[in-house]
Amino acid sequence: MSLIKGVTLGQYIPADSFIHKLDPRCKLLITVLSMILIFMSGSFTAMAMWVFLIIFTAKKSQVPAKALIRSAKPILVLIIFTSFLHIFFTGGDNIIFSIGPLKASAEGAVTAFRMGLRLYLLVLFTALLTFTTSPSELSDGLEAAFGPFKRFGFPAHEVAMMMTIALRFIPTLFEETERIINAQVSRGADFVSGGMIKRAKAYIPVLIPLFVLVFKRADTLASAMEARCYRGGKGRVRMYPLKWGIAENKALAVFVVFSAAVIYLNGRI
Amino acid sequence: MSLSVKNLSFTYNPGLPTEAKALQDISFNAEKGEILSIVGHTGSGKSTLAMHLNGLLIPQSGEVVIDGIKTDSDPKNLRKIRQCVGLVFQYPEQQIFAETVSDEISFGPFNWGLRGDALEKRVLDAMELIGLDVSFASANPFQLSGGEKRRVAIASVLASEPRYLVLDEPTAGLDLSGVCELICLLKSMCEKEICVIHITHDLELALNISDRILIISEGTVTAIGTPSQISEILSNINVKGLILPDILSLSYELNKTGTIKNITSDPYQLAEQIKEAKMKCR
Repeated sequence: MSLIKGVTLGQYIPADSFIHKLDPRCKLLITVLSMILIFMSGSFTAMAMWVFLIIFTAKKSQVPAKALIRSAKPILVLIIFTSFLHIFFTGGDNIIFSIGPLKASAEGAVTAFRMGLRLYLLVLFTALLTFTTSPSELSDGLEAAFGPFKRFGFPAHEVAMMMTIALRFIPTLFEETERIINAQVSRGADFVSGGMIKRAKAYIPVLIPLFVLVFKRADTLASAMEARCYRGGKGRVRMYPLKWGIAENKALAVFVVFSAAVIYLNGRI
Repeated sequence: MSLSVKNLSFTYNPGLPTEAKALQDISFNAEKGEILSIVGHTGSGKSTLAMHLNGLLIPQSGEVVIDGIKTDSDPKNLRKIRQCVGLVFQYPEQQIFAETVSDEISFGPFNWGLRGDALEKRVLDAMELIGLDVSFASANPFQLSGGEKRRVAIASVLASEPRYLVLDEPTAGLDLSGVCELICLLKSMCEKEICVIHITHDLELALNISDRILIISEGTVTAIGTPSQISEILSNINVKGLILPDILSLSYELNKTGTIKNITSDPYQLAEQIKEAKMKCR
């Protein structure tokens, strides 16, 4: 599986922890709120508090540090790129060095660091959510979160189901892509040499069989769902109904106190 | 000139929690003009072994040598090796992508640099070999039946004229007549001095068609030998996940009770021996 080696974003790491057991709605709410708050936090004290919260949550939920650090790998390029832009284009008087017309300022460096850290924290937070919440729980949570929009005709259940299926099939599709690539390489396909256009064209013998397979799979899955009388969200009951209990209230209370502290400190230090 | 595997070991995801030893210390040889069947249960490492034979996987330890060329990460060597070892994957019809059958079959030889008349000849030869009528050449491969698609896919590997042909479960999902046709093809390949390495979980099929059989279990070689040798060996050891053919079990039972002398997987020989035993009784 060389294609997805080391990418842990979106993966679920099963464990028996307090955080794993929390209602997905609670976790989703906390994640969304913290994302907004992280964007509002400018001071380094506030940032440090977020780092602390993430480390604390990771420890509590038994997520391995390695997996957590790796989770940001796919968007590392984006983080570096944004930081880079900030260094050169923030402006300011304290020039550290310059490359031609590009001037790196000390103010820029600070902003760049802040922006990079902010993005990194955002990714880590969402990674923590997916590490501790199984895909089916996550989609249940999303369905509940979208619930209020049902009144305006928003297909909350269908969207949640689509997400679950998409998540479920990511590893399968990677496996199949790998297999087709191997088969074509055995027949002499060459994906490395030649210019951009030639290399892009070389992927046609991979993409076509992959599309054919995906459509076949989708067809089979649809038949299997219909055979088991699936007909959308109407009147559907759950095997494990979502429960909001004392644990969720406690978690939310702790988070609210923490956020209040962050907001208070952010304005001062 | 042969294909030889020496002390081959391979581990997936070494050092990670998902580490899995797929192959451990595998050694064997395959000669031209023989059918060598590699038999093992699901997860025994058969497919991993197949991918080593044409350099899709590079040995972590040990070596795979094909006609004197070792598989390593040198792309020039790998190209040569892939040209001379044709690998037919499980469900090869899933790799079909071209608009016409002849485009599909010419994909391999085209990649190896063949053009024009020579290329066309290769395609027609491969189609003839696999028993596809010339009229199929301009057909859309996606509209063919399952068995025909499989044949197109196998022809697309044969068109490269490999000296070694590795097939991973080529009979999976075929009906009985499809299996028979495939066996005929393998035998005719063998007559053309091509080495056929046939990977399967079906011991009965392997006993029927192979010159030699290699039994692999949990990534190690359990036994290697001719079908009759293998029949003998399997009466003494139990290989995990390997289902014995009824004829072999019957043969073992009769041998144990002393009715027959020689263990065999050939129904005619068995019948002959039973007949003899019956004569003696009278």
